[in-house]
Amino acid sequence: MEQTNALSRYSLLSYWTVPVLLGVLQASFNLYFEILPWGISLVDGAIFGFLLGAFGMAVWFVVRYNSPDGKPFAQLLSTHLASAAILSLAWVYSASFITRTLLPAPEYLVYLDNNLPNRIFAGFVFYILMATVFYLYIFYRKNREKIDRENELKQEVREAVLSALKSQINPHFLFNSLNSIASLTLSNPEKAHEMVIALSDFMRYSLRKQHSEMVVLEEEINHIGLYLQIEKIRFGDKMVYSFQVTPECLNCQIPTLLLQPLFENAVKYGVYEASETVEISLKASKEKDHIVLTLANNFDKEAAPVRGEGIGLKNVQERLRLVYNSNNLMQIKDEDGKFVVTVYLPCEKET
Amino acid sequence: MNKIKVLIIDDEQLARDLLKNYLAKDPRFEIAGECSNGFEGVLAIQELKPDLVFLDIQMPKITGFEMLELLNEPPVIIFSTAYEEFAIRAFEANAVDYLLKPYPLERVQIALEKALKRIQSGTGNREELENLSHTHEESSGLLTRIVIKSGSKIRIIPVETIDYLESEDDFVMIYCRDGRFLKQKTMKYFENHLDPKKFIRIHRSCIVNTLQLAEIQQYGKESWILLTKQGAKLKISKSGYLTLKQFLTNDTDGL
Repeated sequence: MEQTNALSRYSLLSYWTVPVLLGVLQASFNLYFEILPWGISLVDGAIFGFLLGAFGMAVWFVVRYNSPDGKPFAQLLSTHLASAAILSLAWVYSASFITRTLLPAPEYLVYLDNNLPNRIFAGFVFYILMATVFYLYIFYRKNREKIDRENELKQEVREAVLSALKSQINPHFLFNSLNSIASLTLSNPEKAHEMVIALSDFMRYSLRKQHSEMVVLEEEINHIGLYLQIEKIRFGDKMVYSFQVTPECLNCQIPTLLLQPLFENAVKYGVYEASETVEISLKASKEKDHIVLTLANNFDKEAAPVRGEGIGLKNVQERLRLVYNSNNLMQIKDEDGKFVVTVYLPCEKET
Repeated sequence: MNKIKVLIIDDEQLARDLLKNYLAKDPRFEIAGECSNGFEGVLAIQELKPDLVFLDIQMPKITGFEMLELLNEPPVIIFSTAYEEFAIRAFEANAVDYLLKPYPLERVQIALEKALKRIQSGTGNREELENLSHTHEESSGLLTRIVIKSGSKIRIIPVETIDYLESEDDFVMIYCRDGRFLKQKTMKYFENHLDPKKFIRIHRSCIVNTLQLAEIQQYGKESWILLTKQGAKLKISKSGYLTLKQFLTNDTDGL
């Protein structure tokens, strides 16, 4: 608010160039056409120019305290016409009073009397011009502030949404895994050992990567490997998985923990709901400037929906939209007992 | 004294192994069998007639709760799950205990003592079952599917495929895409557990899927008939007519 109340030093300087220029023009005009002698022309130009600037500054305050919002146009117009008239008259009479006192030459006095109406008119025009410029200036500044604020807000919302969309460790996955470990410690301590380590690595990655936005595909795939390894211990032959990743996309940057909800979805609706073997496969390859990730799983067609469907997938889609500002980076195909999610990621090579 | 026959129903082998390991330490119990889903569970309970069942909730095909609905004489139940949020529902379903995975041997022993008391008191579960079908799921949200046992077959009906439901004595007849099926529930239960934006009770004895609505005809001064897309004619009561009218007004507002 303070900003819009006062003009900055820079704006003040640019403002003053206008009356100075006008004064100089006036003086040069009188000199060039030999209307007045040079001394008189200069003093006349300087005094009228300086006072024009001084009275012109009053326009700023009239504009500042007559905001166009919520005021009838007629009232605004009449205010400005009145103040234009007052300021123009005040300008011309105060300036001519000074010049008359300083320059009592009869030729100047005649010149002045002849030119008074022109100068008042010029003052009027100057007022309207300045008022317009000031209004535009205020409008521009307000608008820029608004845009800045909006951008800031958008950024804040984006960050909040992103952190919410990133996959969190699912507590049921954790407790079921711990239960499997409890069971294995009694029947197969070596396997329990293996699972504890896989689970620790898995959790450490999730915790460590919580605050980073992007990560190389290779790291994400290793992480998913741990997840699947754990689920495999839980579900045994009921789950089979395979990765087919071309080496050239391994060091491409992808959003952190993006794969996790996709695989969780596959496990939840595939493995958890089926009584037969479910196969999960991930293919990753590079096409031009995109990496294409294809995740497929079969599922039990008979299984009717039981829990909230596909919130994980919606989150992934939303996250892709926020990160890449694009709506069509994910495709879902659900056909004949096979569920396929394809994700296209603009590839940014790690530098 | 005869040993207590225990059945374990859980989709994870390791979870079943852990329970078997714990149970092996107590000679009063014997493992009658184990199942990896609710379908197998229903059959095993009918065949083996266990005294006690350890039951997981989230399993393939049907949940532990849905499986219980299909049993005429449910045995004593101890739930065993990683999900904390079903505890209230579990006790409404008359479970003896609710074990949160992973659990220690001592915790299972406590549950077993409670189960033993319940079994020996001979209260059985017959009358408790009556309660169960009325109260259970009270604390849960809207239904997405209904599980039915017809003959030896178990059928899962997604609620979207239901055309309408009609009360039939102590049962409710569900008319759906694949035919009609009886379920031992009350109309009140369905009225409370079907999405009110999609299902409307148009009469004391009838709830209709609003997507199936084709036509409403006035019959008498205060009686109306609803025609479904399949051509069924359903009676509408006065209060049903008002609800329906309100629904249709809101529906067109939303368009």
